[in-house]
Amino acid sequence: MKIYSTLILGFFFSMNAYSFTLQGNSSNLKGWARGEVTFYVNTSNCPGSVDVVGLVKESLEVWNNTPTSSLKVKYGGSTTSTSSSSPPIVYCETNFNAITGADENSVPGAASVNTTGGQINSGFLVLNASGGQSNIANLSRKNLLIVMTHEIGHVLGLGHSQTANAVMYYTYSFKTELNLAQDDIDGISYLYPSDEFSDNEFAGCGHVQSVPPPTPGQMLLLILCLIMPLAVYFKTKKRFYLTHL
Amino acid sequence: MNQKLNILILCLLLPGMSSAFKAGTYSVGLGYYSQNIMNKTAQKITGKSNFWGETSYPLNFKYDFAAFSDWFISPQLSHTFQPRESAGDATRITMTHLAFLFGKNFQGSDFDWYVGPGILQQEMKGKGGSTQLLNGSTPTTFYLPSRTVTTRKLSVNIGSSYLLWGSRLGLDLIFENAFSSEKRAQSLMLSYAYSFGGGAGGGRSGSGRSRSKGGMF
Repeated sequence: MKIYSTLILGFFFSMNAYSFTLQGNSSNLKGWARGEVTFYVNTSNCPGSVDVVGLVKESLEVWNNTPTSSLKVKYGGSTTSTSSSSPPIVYCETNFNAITGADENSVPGAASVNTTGGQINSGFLVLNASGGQSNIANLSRKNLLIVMTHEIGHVLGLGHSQTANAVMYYTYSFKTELNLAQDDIDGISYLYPSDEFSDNEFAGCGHVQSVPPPTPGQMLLLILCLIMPLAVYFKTKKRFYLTHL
Repeated sequence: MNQKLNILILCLLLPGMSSAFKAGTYSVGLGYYSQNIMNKTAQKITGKSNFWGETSYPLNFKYDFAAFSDWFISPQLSHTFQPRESAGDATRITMTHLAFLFGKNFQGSDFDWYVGPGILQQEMKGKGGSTQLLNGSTPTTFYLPSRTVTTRKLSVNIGSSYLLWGSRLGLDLIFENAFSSEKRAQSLMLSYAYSFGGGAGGGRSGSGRSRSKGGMF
């Protein structure tokens, strides 16, 4: 079994723009095996002033909003784990430098995944709770949200983006608002493509395993879908007869 | 720069305004497709969004069937023969949209409106390879996508077009995940098409009430 692990660190310096990249050691990454990923949070070492669970929930919603992706991420509850696992975990580390090798004064978060055969099989997200300047307690909530969304992107399989607009860009220094760029959407759609003709979705309603009774809006769409080809068919047929009479 | 280009294209399209549904009319033209509009995506390094989204330029093909009274059915196919490229040309994204539009002429005008379902397909073709990017303060190798991935979405389309001098200017709103509060997205397509063939301006085809001389071809 080939296992690859990459530590992706946050931020801070500059670079030219390109497009989304992937985690792991090959171009063949396919993300998590299931398109539904649940995150568990260990808050034991987190600064009391930071609502880590709230941040995780809010960041997950950002990734849930990608229109062409089938990905569904959610918060699963608390955990005591501090190691790479499936489902992935989020925890705070007081010994941030020793665990990640990153500078505690400039990197607020890091993420890692293990992959097998192009599929992610475990991962974790670690937040800086050290005595360094980039302890998450020293960041504004807005910056923390951007950092969290970026690191969750890594856990989902995205590498750094070469596009400066993107959340997956290596630095949050210039960011004042949290919005995914088209490059982030392309990246997550590449890893978790939505196909309404083959997956368990129904008329764009997300992941519905058993189809509930359609709403009036869905009924209208279905009726239109049925009527249009029939109308075209009958119209063409009528013309054919008229021409040959 | 992108915004200026948008305005320029809009200005080029506006003088060519033209026609509504005509039974038996073919329309072939160019579209300006702005994906994920209305502040859906970050457009600046600050993460700030604006009205427009990522742009591509599909070719549009449309045919008008007369249905009943002055109602029409217009299947429309849009395809980007020149794929949208992510920066650095690492991924090429081709869009295909097939819509079954059902519409009507506005009484006494060259405007029409239409609504209908569609299928929106997006094919992402990765070039593969790797690149060096900063990770913290040191460059790290990141891998670029290599597979070809396809997304297919049902769409709900609503739009209007105007016919003048045998060509058609259209404005379409394309909704993906229309019934999902979470993943709903909207795209906009401005289109300019030459119309040719066709007969009646409304209702039954072949009534001899042709107002079009057959367009630019």
